[in-house]
Amino acid sequence: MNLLKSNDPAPSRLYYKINRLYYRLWFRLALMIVFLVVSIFLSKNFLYKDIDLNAEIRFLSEESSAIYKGLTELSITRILVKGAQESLKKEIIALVESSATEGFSALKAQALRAKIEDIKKVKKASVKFSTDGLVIVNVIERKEAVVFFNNDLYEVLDGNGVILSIKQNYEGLSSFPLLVGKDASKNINALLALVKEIGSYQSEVLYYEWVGERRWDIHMKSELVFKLPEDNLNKGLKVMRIFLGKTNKLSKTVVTVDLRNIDKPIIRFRKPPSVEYIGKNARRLAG
Amino acid sequence: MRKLLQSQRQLRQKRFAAIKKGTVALIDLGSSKVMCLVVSLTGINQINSFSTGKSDRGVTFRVIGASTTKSRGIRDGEIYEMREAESAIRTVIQRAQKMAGCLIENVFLTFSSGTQKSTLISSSIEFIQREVTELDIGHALSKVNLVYDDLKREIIHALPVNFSIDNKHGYMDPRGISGSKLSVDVNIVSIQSDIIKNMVSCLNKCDLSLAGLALAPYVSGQSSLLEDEMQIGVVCIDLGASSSSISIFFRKNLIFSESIRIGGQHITSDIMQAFQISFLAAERLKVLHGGLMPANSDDRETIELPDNNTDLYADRRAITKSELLGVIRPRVEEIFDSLKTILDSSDFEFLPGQKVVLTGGGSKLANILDFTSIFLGKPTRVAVPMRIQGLPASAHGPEAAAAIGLALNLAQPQDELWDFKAPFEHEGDELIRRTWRWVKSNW
Repeated sequence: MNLLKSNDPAPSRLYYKINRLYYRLWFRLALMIVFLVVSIFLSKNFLYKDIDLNAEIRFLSEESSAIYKGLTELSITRILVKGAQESLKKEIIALVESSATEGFSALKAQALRAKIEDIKKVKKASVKFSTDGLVIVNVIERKEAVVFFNNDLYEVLDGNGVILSIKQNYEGLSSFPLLVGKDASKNINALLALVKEIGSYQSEVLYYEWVGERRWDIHMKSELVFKLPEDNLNKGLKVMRIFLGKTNKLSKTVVTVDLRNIDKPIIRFRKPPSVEYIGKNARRLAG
Repeated sequence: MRKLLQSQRQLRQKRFAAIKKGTVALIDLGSSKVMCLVVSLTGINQINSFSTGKSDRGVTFRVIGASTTKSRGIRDGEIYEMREAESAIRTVIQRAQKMAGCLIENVFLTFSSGTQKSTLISSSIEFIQREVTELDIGHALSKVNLVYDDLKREIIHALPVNFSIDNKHGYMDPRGISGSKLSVDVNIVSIQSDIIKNMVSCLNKCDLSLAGLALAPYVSGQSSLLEDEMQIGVVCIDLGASSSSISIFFRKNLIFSESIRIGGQHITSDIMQAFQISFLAAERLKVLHGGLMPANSDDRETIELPDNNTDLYADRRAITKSELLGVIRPRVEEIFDSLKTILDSSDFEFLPGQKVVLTGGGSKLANILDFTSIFLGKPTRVAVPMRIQGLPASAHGPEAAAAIGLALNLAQPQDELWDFKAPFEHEGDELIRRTWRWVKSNW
């Protein structure tokens, strides 16, 4: 029954009630939840009914590089290697040129970087392509630190013990400290600290021996051997420096300076000295 | 008496609960428009009240939503068509809700009824010479002989307007004054109970809860009158669409209130009938060209009447302004004649203040100020309701006086009879009753 007609349209009773409900928080939350549930239901059952999402994702992950390659392939005009010495630079340029046949893309740049980092002398590398065909390779090179004599071969190691090269003979390696002994390559950092402590006497050292996997022996070119202690290494080195500084003339007659027990150093001579010799030099030896 | 106190106190509790929630709607249910203001009760300040014996809490408010729509289903301040009135309320509530951005649950209502009746009743108690206490005031008020038909009339306001101690009058707060006889004058304002029932039913259908009620003449006066005017005595004439009301204030209290069932819509209806045009066209004619004071040029000034039908070949009619005034003025004279009769019967002329303040939509009629001052023989002014925070300037006309007054009344209500504790209400009973009410409302 509609007996009365109005010209000011008022909201219907249902619309009014729904509108009032809309101001209630619980109703809004319920509405959002229902919307989400319906959206998920519809998308699962209708929109993506015939699509295997797993297969799609797999396809994209496998084929994306191929798709991308066609879009961004570049030609190389110049290769710029920074932070490497000449030999390493040549090696890297050769590697980049050999890889260039495959074409480049952002995805390939990562692969190329991995290849460059596979070079033993390279510590870290980054590769950038510019649109004009320039390839910039930034490299942090590993520095040769010591030579490790192992299985009749000379291994050139960096500070972290990474083998940079292996050589048959010692030629050209005399500027690096020579290291012998089982598992000595694992103690490169300790050796470098030791070499630094020895200072100017480093040139008189023939090689450093890692003994019993616990302590160092220093073999001098004059066939003198210093047996350093396991614990008080700095003290041992100090005694060694004093010995070398003050008794250099005796060094040829002394075979071994045993500092393993730092409180009781033992000096072994090549031939026992005569009583006269001792008497003559007693005051000097006493310091 | 007990029943009245209970029902009014329940309404008071609803009012406090609504204020606690922070947002309420104020609806002015007029015959020409329905206006809704949504107010956010932002702060609490202390106001002086002596009904509870301690400082009561008033509120500060800000209008956050306002809407107006054409009134439907309401005539002479009463609901005639429930569905239409309901749809009008739905319209304003929904718009105001949208503007305020929050849900409206509690509503304060104001309206003007042609059936309203104001009665001044006195009562007194005698006691041994001592200082008057709150209990004495409650005792005196409980002695008020409320002569009203419980089934047909409902008391809306019962305002204590004057206290006398030992025949000395004019006390506003008699506490602490020594004496042996306390008298109180209470202004009882009542309307037909059916009107309230219909309105509550209409609000319930709109999912709203009535939290307070005030009559438009009373709240219009509160928003339109100055404190000094209210202090020395003033009459506020609210010229509504279908009824015109009078409220007399003295010592800041409403001492008399009455209304007649003639208003601005009757003037429009007269124009409509006189010139045979549509109601809207007649209203437009009244607003744009209407007036009350004749001028020499009126006979020469012609007004083209809007065409009622779509016949382009029909002659366009024109009337002179004096013809229009000739229709408007007799009706306005009739309104003011009736109002004058009421004023004469109310003993207004014995008050120190003799000012007449016009408010309501009808006070916008041209030259009404001159007409009233000549007709009633008293100084007159047209009042604009005081500005309230958040209400747009366009809504600050005299037609919004009732809604704004309701907001002011909500913020700082005046103590009424039911705000005082009667001697038969013992503390223990009250506690049990409160507990029972709490249990009932929570389970």
